[in-house]
Amino acid sequence: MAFSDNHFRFNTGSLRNPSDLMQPERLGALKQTRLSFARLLVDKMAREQWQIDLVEVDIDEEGNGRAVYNIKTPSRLFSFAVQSRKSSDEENTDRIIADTWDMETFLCEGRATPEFIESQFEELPNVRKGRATPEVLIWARANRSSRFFDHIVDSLAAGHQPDIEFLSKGGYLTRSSGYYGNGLNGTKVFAAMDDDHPLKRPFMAQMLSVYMLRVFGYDLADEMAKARNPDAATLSDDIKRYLGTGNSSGVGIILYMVNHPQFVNSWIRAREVALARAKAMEPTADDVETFERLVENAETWFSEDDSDTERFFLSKDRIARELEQTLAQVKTLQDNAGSDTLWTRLCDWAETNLEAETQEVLHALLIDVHPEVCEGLEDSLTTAETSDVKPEMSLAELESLVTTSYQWALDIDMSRPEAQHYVWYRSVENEEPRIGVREDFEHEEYEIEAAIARQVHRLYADLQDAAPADTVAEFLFENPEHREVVERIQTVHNLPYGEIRGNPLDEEFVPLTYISCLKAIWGIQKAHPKSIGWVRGTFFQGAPLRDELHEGKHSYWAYPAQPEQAEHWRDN
Amino acid sequence: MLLSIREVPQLAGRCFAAAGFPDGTAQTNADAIWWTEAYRGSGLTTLHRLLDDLSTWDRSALSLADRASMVTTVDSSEQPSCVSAGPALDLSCSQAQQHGIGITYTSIAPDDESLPLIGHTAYRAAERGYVPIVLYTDTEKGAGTIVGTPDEPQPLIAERTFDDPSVGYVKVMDAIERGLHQYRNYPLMQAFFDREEENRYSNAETRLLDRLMRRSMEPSDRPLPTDESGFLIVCIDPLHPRYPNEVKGIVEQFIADEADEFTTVFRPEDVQERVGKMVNEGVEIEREIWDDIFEYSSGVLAPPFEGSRDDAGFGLE
Repeated sequence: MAFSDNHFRFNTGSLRNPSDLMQPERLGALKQTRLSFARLLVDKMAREQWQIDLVEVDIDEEGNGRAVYNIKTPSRLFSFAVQSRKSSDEENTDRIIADTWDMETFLCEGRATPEFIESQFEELPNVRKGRATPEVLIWARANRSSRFFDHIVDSLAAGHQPDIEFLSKGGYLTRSSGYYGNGLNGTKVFAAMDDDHPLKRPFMAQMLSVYMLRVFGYDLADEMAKARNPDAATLSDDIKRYLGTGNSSGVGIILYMVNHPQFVNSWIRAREVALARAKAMEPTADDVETFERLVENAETWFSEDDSDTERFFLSKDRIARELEQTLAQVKTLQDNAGSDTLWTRLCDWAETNLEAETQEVLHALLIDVHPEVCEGLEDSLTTAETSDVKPEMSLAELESLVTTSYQWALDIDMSRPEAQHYVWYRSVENEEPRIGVREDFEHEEYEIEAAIARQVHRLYADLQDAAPADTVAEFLFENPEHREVVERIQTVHNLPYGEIRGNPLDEEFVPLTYISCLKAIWGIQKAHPKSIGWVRGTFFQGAPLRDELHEGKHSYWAYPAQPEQAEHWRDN
Repeated sequence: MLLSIREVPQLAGRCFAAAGFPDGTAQTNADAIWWTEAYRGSGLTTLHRLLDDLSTWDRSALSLADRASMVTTVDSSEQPSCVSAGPALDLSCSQAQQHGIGITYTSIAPDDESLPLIGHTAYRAAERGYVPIVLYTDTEKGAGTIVGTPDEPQPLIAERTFDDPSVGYVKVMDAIERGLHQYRNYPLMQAFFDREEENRYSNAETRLLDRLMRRSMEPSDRPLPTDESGFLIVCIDPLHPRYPNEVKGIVEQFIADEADEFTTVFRPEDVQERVGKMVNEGVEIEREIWDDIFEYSSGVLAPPFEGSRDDAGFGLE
């Protein structure tokens, strides 16, 4: 059945089945697309020619000091301030709840006065109890890359550019570990932004902070080098453009995915609609040429990435090889016309011949070839996450919702001991959500409910003892422990992409899958596991530099090629 | 100091969770704290006053004393209203959807410090599309009537407080004591039609609604048939076939007529302005109160245990 969706036509059947797509392994394979928030931000900044000025900087040769930026958009001015210090490797843990960081930063509305800056930097070190003000959009903390930062500063101070081959192993100078906004610590709430606010999209304020850390990293390196040697080189724009901001995320963000099904549904559905629209388009010769160029870029990008993907992700070389096969397949399919569009046939072929990660790269590139397919979808990414119990519903109807929309949960055998191997809790040591082995856990009362499947099982069991004609109100009166899951089922049952069909308690649970999915939503590019529950990656590699934004220079940047090593960059 | 508006329900939810409430119930109570802050400006101070008692509250103490009659009765075993208000509201709403009107009576502990939160039930019922009439009597703290009109996002809510129970409350309690409520609808009607009186509405159901509301605005000179503290949640489904289309208008007219008699009328435009200010500027709270609430909310954090980790990943390297 085809239906009209604005001026796009696509087959509803081409929206992927949630039974396949919402498996953790599949979600972990998703890649950033034009609808990822980092890319949406860059598009907006370049389109509106935002001007970012370094208005104050005082940094010594060790990197101690402060910098302040003004960010001018057509409608508002923001300030981004950084307090920088050199901390030892021992202090530098990347944890959100650490004691010290190399950088503490805030993004606020308006022009930050010296007094305001002082007050924020007094509060920022207090992670739990520090208080921002409603002008503050984001508090963030970050560290320098222990591998690459010193190399860059040493090179610049010595009067030459750093080794690009070496830098490409990481791709960043600064690495952030957490962004506090939307009301946390007293920051501005999302609801307080007017509809015409430049950052009125999910995660946009966070992404602007990520971008500003990239900007500051370069200025920090240049300032430190200059403090060491007045004749120091400044970092080449080609290298700057090639690098991004690092990010380190652990299991703490998994519960975000579990607890925000409406948001997850919105983003994944928008992505699927964009893909379906793209697949439904019959490409012109120019489109095919564009596609081939983008695939070649991506192939180079993946082949140049020699980061260790461990056993959890597909090797980058493998993705590069499969992209090469894809190029060959396009030519084959062009020579053998079929009833479906070329892109549909290519995706069908990919489904049986390529690994999931490569398929998702292909999907992202198809959307890039036809950026117009994202038209109107950006607005659907902002969701009102309200819900309430529907007490009037009969238990027969509730059970019907369970056995239709949540059969996937009932299909998980929660009676196996290994199905509840792990326990989730918030630790007094660090407050973030943590995961531990249940048999070592002595504090059952502190367990956080992270497994929808287990909640559904328990609900379903109790529903069997209740009269089908009874109402939810009567049932919850006797079984108040089910209130949360009943409300969730009543709210989410008709959102096809709301529930991740996994069990975060299972012994075989791979946290990386959830983390990688959220990072794709944010728009991370390189992502490589530090462990089964900790992903490091890079944002904004290839994105325009701050001066280029203002000049309106903006071209496709998602898979940047490594700059050629110029003769004058190194003299050794 | 200032909290963001999102921190109010977050902190409150953690406090209730720390006190042992299941997550869903903790969130319902947290929503009531948010409402009390947004409407009355006292949610956080109320929460602060409740902290010492939270862990003694027992949701499992509630029992349904009568679920088959027109008036559902809940025995709270001396639990405060905050524990029973959510479930009682659910019961009234589900009854209203089935029969057009749902009434739940719940006994509560006297001198109930959580009573300011009861207005949230009227707000929530109105949000769900019902006409709410909430009548309460605390033998120590006094009595009150709260009515609302169904609407989103900001229903019109009005409250009158009394020293003694309202006529409406006494009449319903009389009906319960006399067992009249077991006869479904009409005995309750009899309770409110005990004398001839002019009424602008011709339909029996709307006349009942009008009289119930008007009687609930009059302090009773008759004593209660019980010395129990409690509250009644009456929900009316304006879309039910037994009611003509004018139900919402009747309530609005009633609130307009009685405007001077209400202690407080929470007009949507006023609430919107107040909430808007909280959204934009934050929520004022004394540092000492926040310290106490923050400390209590930290009770959700698990102490270290063998095998606990303080890093962000597990199975590292």
